[in-house]
Amino acid sequence: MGRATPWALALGQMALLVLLGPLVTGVIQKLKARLQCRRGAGILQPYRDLTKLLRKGTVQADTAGSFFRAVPVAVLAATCAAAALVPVLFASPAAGAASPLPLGDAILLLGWLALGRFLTAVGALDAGGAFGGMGASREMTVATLVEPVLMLVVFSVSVVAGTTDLGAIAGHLSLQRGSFGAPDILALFAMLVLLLAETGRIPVDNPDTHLELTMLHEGMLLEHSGPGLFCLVLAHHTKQIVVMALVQALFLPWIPASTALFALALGLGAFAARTLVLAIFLALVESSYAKLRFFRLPQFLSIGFLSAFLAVALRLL
Amino acid sequence: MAEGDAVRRGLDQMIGGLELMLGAYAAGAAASLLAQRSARATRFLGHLGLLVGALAGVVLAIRHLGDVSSGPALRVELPSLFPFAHLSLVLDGLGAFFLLVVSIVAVAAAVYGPAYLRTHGTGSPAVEVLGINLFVGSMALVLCAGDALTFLLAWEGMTLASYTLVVSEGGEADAHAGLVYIVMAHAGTALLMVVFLALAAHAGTFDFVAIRAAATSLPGPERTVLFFLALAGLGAKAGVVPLHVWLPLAHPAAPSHVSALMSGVMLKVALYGVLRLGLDLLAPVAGPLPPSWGWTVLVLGSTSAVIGVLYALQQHDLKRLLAFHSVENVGIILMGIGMAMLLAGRGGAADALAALSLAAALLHTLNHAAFKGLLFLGAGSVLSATHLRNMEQLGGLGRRMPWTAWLFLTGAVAISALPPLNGFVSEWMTFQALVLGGAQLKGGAGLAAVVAASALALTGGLAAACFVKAFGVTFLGRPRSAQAAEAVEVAPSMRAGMILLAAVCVVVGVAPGHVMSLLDAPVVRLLGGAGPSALVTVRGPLVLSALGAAGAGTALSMTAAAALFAALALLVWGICVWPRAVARRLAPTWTCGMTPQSRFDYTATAFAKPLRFIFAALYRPRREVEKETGPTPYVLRRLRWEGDVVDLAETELYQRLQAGVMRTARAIRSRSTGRIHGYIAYVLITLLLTLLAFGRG
Amino acid sequence: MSPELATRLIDALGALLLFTMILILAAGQLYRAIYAVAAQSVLIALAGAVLGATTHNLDLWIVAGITLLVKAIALPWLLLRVIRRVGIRREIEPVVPITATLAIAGGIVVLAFHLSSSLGAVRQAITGNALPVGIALTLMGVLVMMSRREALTQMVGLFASENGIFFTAMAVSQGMPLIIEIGVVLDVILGALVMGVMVLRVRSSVDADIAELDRLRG
Repeated sequence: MGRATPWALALGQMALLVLLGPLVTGVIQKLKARLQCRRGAGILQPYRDLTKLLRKGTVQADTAGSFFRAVPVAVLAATCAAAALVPVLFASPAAGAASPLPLGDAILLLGWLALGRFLTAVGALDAGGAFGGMGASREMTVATLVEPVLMLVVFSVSVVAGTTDLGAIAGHLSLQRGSFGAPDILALFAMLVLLLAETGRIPVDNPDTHLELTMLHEGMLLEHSGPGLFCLVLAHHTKQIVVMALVQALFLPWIPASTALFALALGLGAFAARTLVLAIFLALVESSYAKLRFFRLPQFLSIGFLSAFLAVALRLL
Repeated sequence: MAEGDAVRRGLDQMIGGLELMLGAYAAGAAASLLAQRSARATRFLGHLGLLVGALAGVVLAIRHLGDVSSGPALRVELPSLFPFAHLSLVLDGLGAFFLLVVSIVAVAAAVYGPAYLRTHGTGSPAVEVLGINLFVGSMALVLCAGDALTFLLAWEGMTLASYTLVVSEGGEADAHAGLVYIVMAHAGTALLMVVFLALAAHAGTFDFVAIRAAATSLPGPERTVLFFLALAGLGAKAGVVPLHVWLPLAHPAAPSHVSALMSGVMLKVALYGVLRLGLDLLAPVAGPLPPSWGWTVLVLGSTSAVIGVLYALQQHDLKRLLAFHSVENVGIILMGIGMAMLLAGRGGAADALAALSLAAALLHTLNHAAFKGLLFLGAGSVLSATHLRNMEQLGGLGRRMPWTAWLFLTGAVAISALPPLNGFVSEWMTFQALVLGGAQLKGGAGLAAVVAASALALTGGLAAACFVKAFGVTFLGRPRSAQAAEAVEVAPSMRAGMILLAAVCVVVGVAPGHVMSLLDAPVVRLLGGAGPSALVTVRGPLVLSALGAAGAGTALSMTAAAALFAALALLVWGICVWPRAVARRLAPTWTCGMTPQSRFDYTATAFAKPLRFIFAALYRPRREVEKETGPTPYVLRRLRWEGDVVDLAETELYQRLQAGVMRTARAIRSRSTGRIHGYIAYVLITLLLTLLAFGRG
Repeated sequence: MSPELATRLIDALGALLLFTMILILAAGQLYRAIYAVAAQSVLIALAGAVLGATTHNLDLWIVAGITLLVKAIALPWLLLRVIRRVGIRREIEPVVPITATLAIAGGIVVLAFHLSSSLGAVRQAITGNALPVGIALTLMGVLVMMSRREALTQMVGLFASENGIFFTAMAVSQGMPLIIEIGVVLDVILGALVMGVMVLRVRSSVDADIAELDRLRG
C-alpha cells in the first residue's frame, strides 16, 4: 500500500458518511411514519430536498453581514472534518495514532462538532430577531449540559484502552470479542441518552416542526436559505450519522482490520446493520414519547450523567 | 578556552539584553517628565520605551529558552542597597518562559496604547506612561528575582503601579475598585512575606539558591504549612475562588490595554510564584510531593474554573465578563499544575505524565495571555468607539467595525477551546494528562481526576455559550443605541496590536509542536527528566502525542486537521456558494410581520436565562417584578422587571467579614477616652508587661 | 454453567440493576417507577437463577421464582390497580430536587465501593461486583423513600431496597436461608397491602402526601 492510499481511504470513509447521512434520516422518517400508521415520504426524500435547496437563490436578512455568509461553509467543513475521524469500515490508519499525520481523536471530533454548533449560533444571532436568539440560547444551554457527559463516556472507554483515538479503541475492542462488561452497559445507556440530545430528536428537540417554542436546532436555521441552508441541513444529517458511528466505534465495533475488498464489503454490511438498529431505536423513542419541557431537560440529561459516572466508577474502583 | 569565551560572550549578550530591557522600561517611565510640554509626545515616547523593552524581553527569553543546556542560569549581582542582603537577578528556564509571556502581551499593549489613550484616555498622560512602564518593569523584575527581597520589592512595585493605573481614570467606582484591590493584594503580600521570612530565617540569607538548599532540611509538616500559606497569598493575587472578588472590580476599571496586561500576565506572575515555591524551592529533592498539595491545587483549580465561568455568563459589562473568564482560566492552569504535583516523582510513566501535565499548564498560560489580551484589546476598541461598556446598549457593530469584530471572534473561538485555535491545544493536553493520570493513579483518586476532566469539559461548554452571547449581542443584530449606530473602526495601530495577538493564537493553534521546544527549559528545570519536546512531539514537530502507561497513547496533528478543515471549507465554498453569489436578494428579518427594530433582538439577559435558571442554586438570582394595571387586572399599563446576580462570595463571605471587623473596631473605639492620659497609660502598661515577659533569661 | 460465565452475567446484571435504579430515582411519573421496579425484580430473579444454576442450590431457584411471581408481577399489578382507582397521574415535586437526588446517588455508589473494598474478605469470588452493587441498591432504595412524597413511591423504594438486600445476600453467602427469604417477602406483601388500603381509603385528598402526615408525635 502506498503512502497516499491510507489517506485516500480515510477521505473515502468521510465521503461515504456524508453521502449516507441523508439516507439514514430518510429511513428514520419512514419508520416513524409507519409506526404512526402513515405511508410517509420515500426513503430518498432528504436527497430531493437537498438538491432543491441547491437550485434555489438566497434571500438574506438586511442586517446580516459577512459572518452570516461565512457560517454555513465553516459549519459543513467542520462537520465533514469530524466525519473523517470516525472508523466506519475499518480502523482508519490515516486518522489513527499510528499514521504519520494523524487527523485526530475523539476529543477533536467533539471539538469539531462544538465548533459547528458555536458558529451556527453566531450565524443565528447575526440575522437579528428573536427566533434566532432563542434557538441559539437553548442550543448552547443543551450543549453545555451534554458536553461533560459525552466526555465522561469517552473517558470511561479510554481509561481502559489507554487512548482516546477512535480507531485504536475500535481495534482494541474488536480484538477482545467478549469484553463488553458491566461498565460498558452503563456507558452505552448514557450514550443512547446523549444520542437523542446530539441528534436533536424527541424528547430533547422536535426535528419536524418549525414552531419557535419547540425548536432548538431549527430556530438557528430559520434565516438561512438556498445553498447556505443546503450546507447547514447536510451538516445536520452528517452530524447525526457521525454520532451514530461514534456510538458504534465506542461500544459495538466488530470492525475488520484489513482493507481487502471483501473485508470492506463485510464492514459496510456490518455498519449498515448496526446503523439500522440505532435508527429503529431512534424511531421508536420518537414515536413513543412526547417532547420534554425545556427546563426538564437537565433532569433527563442527569440520568445520562449518572450512568456515565457509574460506568467510570465501576471501571476504576 | 574558545568555549569559555563563547559562553562568556553569550552571557554578556544576555546580560546586555537584560540591561536593555530594564533600561528601556526606565526610559519609558522617564518620558512622563515631558507631560507638561506635550501629552502626545509623552504617550508616544513612553509607549515606545515600553515597546523596546518588551521586544528586548522577547528576544532575551527566546534566546535563553532556545538552548536548555547552556549551563548555569544567567545571574547578575545588583548593587547592594541594604546592608543585610545581597540583591541579585537570576534568569532560568521558568523565569524566561514567563518573561516571554509578559513581553508578548506588553508588545501588543505598547502598540495599542497611544491611539487608545488619545481617543478614550481620561487620566493624565504622566500617570499612564509612568504607571505602565513601572508595572511591566516590576513584573519583569519579579520573574528575574534571584533572592526573596528582590522578589518582594518588585512584587510590591507591581501592585502599586497597577493600583495607580486602576484609579487613573477617576470616578468613585474606580476608587472603590482600587481600594478593594490594594487591600486584598496587600493581604496576599503579607502572607508571602511571612513565608519568605520564615524560609530566609531558616537558611540564614535571602538568596534563592541558599533557601533551596536549606529547605530540604525542613520537616514535612512545616513545609506543607508554608506551601499552603504561600498558596493563599499567591492565590489572592491570581484570583482563585474565593479570593477573586477584586478581579471583576479592578480589571474593568483600568484602561483596556492595562486590563489586558493585568488579566493576561499579572495573574500569571502569581502562578509563577506557585510554581517557583511549590515545585522548586519547597519541593523535596527526590520522591513525590505530599499528595495534599496536589489535591488542594486541583480542587481549587476545578472550583475556580466552574464558578468563574458561571458568573461570567451572567455579566453584561464586557470587561467584567472577561475578568471572570480570567478566574476560570487561572483555574484551568491550576488543574494542570495540581495534576503535575500529584504525579511528579513517582517514577516511570507517572513522571512522563507529570511533564505532560505541567507542559499543558504552561502552554495554557501562554495561550490565555494571548487570547485574553486580544479580547480585552477588542473590548477596548469597542469602548473607544462607542464609550459604552454595557452589551445591552450595543449591537450591530460587526458591520461598522469589521476588523474588530473578526478579531474578537478569533479570540472568542480561542477561549472557548474550539479547534483549530490554541485554546483547544492546551485543553487537549490537559484532558490527556487528567485521564491518563487518572488511569495511572487508579481507585478513588483516579475517579476524582476523571471527574475533574469532565468539569473541564463543562467549563468549555459554558465558555462557548458565554462567548456566543458576548460576541452576538455586541457585534451582531441591530444597534440598540445612537452611539452604537455611529461607531467607526479604530485606528490602524490599535488594529495592529490585536492582529499581533490573533496571529499568536492562530500560529500556536495550527503548529503547536514548534512551540513545544519553548516549554522544554521550564519543565526540565522543575521536574527534571525529558522535556515536552521529547515527550509530546516524539514523531516530529507536526504531531502531538500523549503516551499512557502501557505504551498505548493518542497522537494528534493539529496541522493536518487544520489543513483538512481549510481544504474542505474551500471545497464547499467553491461548489455551493461562489457560483451563486449573484443570485442573492436582501430582505428584512422575519419578525412576525412587524417592522424589525432593535427591540426584537435577543438581549444578553434573555440569552443567559436558561443557564441562570438551571444553576439557580448557585446563583440565587434576585428578581423583582412591578405591574401597574388599568381599570381591570387584565389591562397592563406598565411593567417593571429588575433582576441581578450577585457574586455569592462577596455577599456571604466578604460582607460578613467586613461587618465583623467593623463591629470589633467599633467595640474597641468605644473604649477610647480621647484623653491623652489614657493613651500614655496604655503605653506604660505595655512597656511594663513586655519587660516582665521578655526581661528574664 | 461455568463460574466465569456466571461472574460475567452477574456483573452485567448488576450494571442493569443500577440503571433501573437510576430510572426509579429520576422517574417523573408514578407508573414509570413501578415498571422500573418490576424490571428490576425480573433481573434479580435472573441473577438468582444464574447463581442457582452454577451452585445447584434449589433454594435459590425457589426464591427466584417467588421474586418473579410476587415482586415482578403481583405487587406491581396491585399498585397499578390502586393508581387507576384513585386516578393519580403525576408525581408532585419530590422533597429533594431530582438533580440533587441523583448526585447523592452517585456519592452512595462510590461509598458502597469504598465499603466493600474493606469488607473484601467476606465476598465470594463467583459473584464479582455483587456486594457493592447490592449495598448501593439498598441505600438508594432508602434514598427513594426519603426523597418522595407519594406513599406509593415509597413502596417502590421499599421493593427496591429488598431487591438490594437479596443481591447483597447473594454476594456474601449463597442467598439467605429459605425461611428468612419467605419471611421478608411476606413483610413486603403486607406493607404493600397496608399502603394500598390506606391510599384507597384516604378520600380527603386525591394523592396521599406523606409529608403532611405529622400528627404522630408526643
